[in-house]
Amino acid sequence: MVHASQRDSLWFLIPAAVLWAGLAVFSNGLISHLESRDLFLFTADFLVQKLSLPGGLLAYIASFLTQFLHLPCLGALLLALTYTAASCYNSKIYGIPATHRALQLIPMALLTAALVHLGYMAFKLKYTGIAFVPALGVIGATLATDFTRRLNGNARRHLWLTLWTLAAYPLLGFFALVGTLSSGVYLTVNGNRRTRTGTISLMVTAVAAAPLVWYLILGTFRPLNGWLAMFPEFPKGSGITYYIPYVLLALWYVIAPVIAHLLKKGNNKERTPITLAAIALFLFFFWCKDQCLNAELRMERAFEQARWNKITRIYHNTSRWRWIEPTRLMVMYKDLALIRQGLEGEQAFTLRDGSRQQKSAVRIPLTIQAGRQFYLHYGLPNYCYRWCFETHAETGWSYSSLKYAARASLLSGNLDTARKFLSILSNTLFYRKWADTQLSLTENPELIAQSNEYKDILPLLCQDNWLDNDLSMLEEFLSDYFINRTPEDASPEYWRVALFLAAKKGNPDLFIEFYQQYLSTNHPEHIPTHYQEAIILFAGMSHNTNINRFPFDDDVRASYAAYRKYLERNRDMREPDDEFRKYFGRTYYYYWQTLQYKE
Amino acid sequence: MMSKGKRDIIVLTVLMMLAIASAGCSRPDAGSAHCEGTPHIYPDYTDIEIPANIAPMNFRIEEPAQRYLTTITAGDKSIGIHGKTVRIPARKWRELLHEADSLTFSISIYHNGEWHSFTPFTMLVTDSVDGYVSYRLIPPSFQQYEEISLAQRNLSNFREKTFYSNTLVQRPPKGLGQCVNCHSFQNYKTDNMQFHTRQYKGGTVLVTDGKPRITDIRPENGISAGVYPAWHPTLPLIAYSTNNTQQSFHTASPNHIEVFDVESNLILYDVESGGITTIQDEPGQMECFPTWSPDGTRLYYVSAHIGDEIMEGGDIAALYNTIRYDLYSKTFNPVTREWGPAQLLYQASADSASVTLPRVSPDGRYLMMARGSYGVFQIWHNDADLWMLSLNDSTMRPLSELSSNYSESYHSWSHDSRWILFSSRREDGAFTRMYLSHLQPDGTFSKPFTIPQRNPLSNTLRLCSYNVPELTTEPVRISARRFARIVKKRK
Repeated sequence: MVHASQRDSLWFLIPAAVLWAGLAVFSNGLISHLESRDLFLFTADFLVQKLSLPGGLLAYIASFLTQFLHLPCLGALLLALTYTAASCYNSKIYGIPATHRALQLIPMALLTAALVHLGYMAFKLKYTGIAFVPALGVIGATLATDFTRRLNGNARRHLWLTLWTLAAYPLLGFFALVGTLSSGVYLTVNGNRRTRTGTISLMVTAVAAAPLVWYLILGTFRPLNGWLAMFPEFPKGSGITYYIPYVLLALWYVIAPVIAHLLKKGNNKERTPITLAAIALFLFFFWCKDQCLNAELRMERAFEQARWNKITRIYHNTSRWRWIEPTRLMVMYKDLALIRQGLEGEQAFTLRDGSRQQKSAVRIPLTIQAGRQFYLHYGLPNYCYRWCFETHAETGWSYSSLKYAARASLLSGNLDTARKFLSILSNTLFYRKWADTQLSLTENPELIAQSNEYKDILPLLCQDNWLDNDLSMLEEFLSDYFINRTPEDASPEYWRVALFLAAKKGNPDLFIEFYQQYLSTNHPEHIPTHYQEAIILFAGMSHNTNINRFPFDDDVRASYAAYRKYLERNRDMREPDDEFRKYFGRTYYYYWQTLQYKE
Repeated sequence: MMSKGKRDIIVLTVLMMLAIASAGCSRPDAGSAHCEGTPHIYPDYTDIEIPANIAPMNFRIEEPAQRYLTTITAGDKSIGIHGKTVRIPARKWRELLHEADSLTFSISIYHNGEWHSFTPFTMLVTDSVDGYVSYRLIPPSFQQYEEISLAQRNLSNFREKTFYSNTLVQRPPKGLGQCVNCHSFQNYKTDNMQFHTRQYKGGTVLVTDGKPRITDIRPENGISAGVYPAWHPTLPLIAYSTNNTQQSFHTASPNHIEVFDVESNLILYDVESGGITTIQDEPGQMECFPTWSPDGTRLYYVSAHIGDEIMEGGDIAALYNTIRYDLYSKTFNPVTREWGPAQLLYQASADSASVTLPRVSPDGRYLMMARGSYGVFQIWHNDADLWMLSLNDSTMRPLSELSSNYSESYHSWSHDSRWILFSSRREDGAFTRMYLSHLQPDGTFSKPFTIPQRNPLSNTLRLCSYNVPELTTEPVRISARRFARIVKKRK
């Protein structure tokens, strides 16, 4: 026989488990990304810096917890537990009756919606700990009501409300005010008529005055923003939907005492299934279903772990669906992963290309999304360094920025600068070990060349200096850099990358020129299939009679013959159609034909 | 109920622990081992000269040990501080400073079961320095910016007060930000001061006789609004450069970014009438960074000749490292407000060098400047060092005693010319920090040291640069809120 208390526990346990699984499976990329964009340091200065703004304690604890998102499964568990704790505490304090159990899950659903709806805004967030801030904030707000409930006498309760608002505001910001409103409403609903006016007046005055009082004391924030301290701020133009879960969450905590009161008084007809369905629908609507963004975030994580295989697998698994066109960032991740595996000439054009626009109201430049990663891996540490600083100026320092700034400094030989960033990372939990390893490289820079982390980058390292500007156009800049700025003593690895990028450009003369350089520097035993396809295609275009001299594979000769035949049969083909794709979608011919059509 | 036996074991254990602890807390005696040399401490405060009014010189001992003991002796007084991080109590520090002209720091460490003592080092207590330093706190970025503030540090303690922050005005519309820069004071006082806000709610915040307002200092058909300011020491006049500044990024140089002017000249702004006149606008020249002589009868500035290649349409971004600035001056008649002709004082370009940021010592003896191999924004050039021109005998010398492998650039004399405060990236090559050095009677400088912080590791952990450090003898009295209100009113 299951007791009521066991039933209560189970009631929260099941959604918690579902949430954990959901976050771990569908949002692990997001979880990992949020961690990489955050920073928590075990130093007193860091605490003082956080406490200098209203809501500082909340930000500090949230950042502390965010570091555990480093391990996405543990992070998902921590998020699920925190959200469940917020829901559980809420239902206990406000007394939502068991007949309306589904209502008890509302805080959990709203907190989840706020998180999973972030989408591309995850790249633009201006404050840290966003995954935990609202949950911890509402737990704090509930604490205010809990304490209010336990006190006897209106004078004591009013005194507590005043003290709470003034003292909790600098620590919890907006959520302290939610706590005041929630407690005030609780007192109003459950108190007698005589004291209602007093409670309401006190509540409104306290909420109106606390931010102003602290503005006068601290003077470190915009007065109008005082009431919304620690309420997330999304970029202008991003629309209101991002705010909806947060607004509903705050509203829920304010009206929860009223709802609980009405439910206790009214008929207790069981409505759980309907409410549950509504919550599920709500969550479905808000859950970010952008497969490309999810893929980008998962690729970002795999990229950090140098799991090149996994990146191509994610790309393949996402792009194999006709209706999912890859974004340029996905293509860039895939290309670099293939380069690292030495498979770019064999597989790059067998996988589908794409250029789907970001599904975001505010366009996030690729330089902000992944500039530092690509610049570092393509051998431009100066530009990596620059984008670490640009990103930091906009959204604050993060583990990721510090790591890349340290790596870029190491590769550029700025060892003092590298030490600076590494010494900061030494104050973190999950990056301390990495920082210590890198610090040893600053003491023995000759070991950098042997380091697994850098050995593939060093042959591409930019040695010639000139002034340039990427104008936030990452892909074009990298392509132009490799094609137009080839150094005289370029390494075989450099020519490999340059040839690949020349193939992507689709310029026959350029490709043939780079192909010769590639052959003379790399001396490949077997010419990668795509390059054979490109050469046979370009040679055929120039009616080169010496094609037979090239050591083409039989498969390539056959596919080229089929391609020529197809083109002759379909002279009126305006753009590569489905049939063409069916036969040649995995060849360079298809890529080139598509490129011609686009141009 | 705890048995007697158990209780005895607990009592015995506690007693043993106390005995071990008291043995560990033993102090180094005359017989303790001696370590060669001075200890490694951060920041390096060994054998320096310090102002009599400086805040406690907290530091961290960078030596591996289990225990640390620092004894500070001044005359008959001495204090002992335990721990790796030496935080000196403010009251005791002040007493020590008043006690003698020299403080001796003796550091002992307990390592491998015995105490070791290092050779003591000293801090000579000399002239007081101006009480306050104002700076721009900025996360060093290239094009993007978000939070920028102007702050003032009381050098006698650790108090830092923000007197303006762009976070205090409304959120700018999409695509706009608000940059804050170029704070400047008249003659080390704060009743007449200025700073600029740029882009959103842009203008120049001017404080005259303690009253703030915001205005637009933009000459008709000029290159830009007034940029780099220099208050006349006594008259209500500000000399500005107006600049068309651009920036581009190095692909491989450790300098990372190149900031350069493509045109610039000098203007004079009358604070009372609002009138703007041209000081210097010679074709083929780019003038910048004006600064007044202490008596206000001469204006110093730097100017670069734009080469024929650029004049004939060459790309200035490609020829950036051929642009070199020389030092000039012009006489000024404070009564008639007439200018004399431009006079070349130091032709740095002849030495394949470029000078910027000239500043004259208030006693009129020296002119200090930043010198690098090219360009005008030396903060981004690792080869930039401070040089000094003796205005008495026109001799120029590199201040090698202040130099490092990284950029030394902005500098500010104390009002009595006894101290120089300058910015340097010597610590890590990326973040600008402030350093103080004492001028010796022979015109050399004492070993520079970084401004002390409550937590000596703050310089490592604070990810902001201290930009344009300016000494003043009094605090900025206008609050950040009041400045923000003024800026908010700007249309």
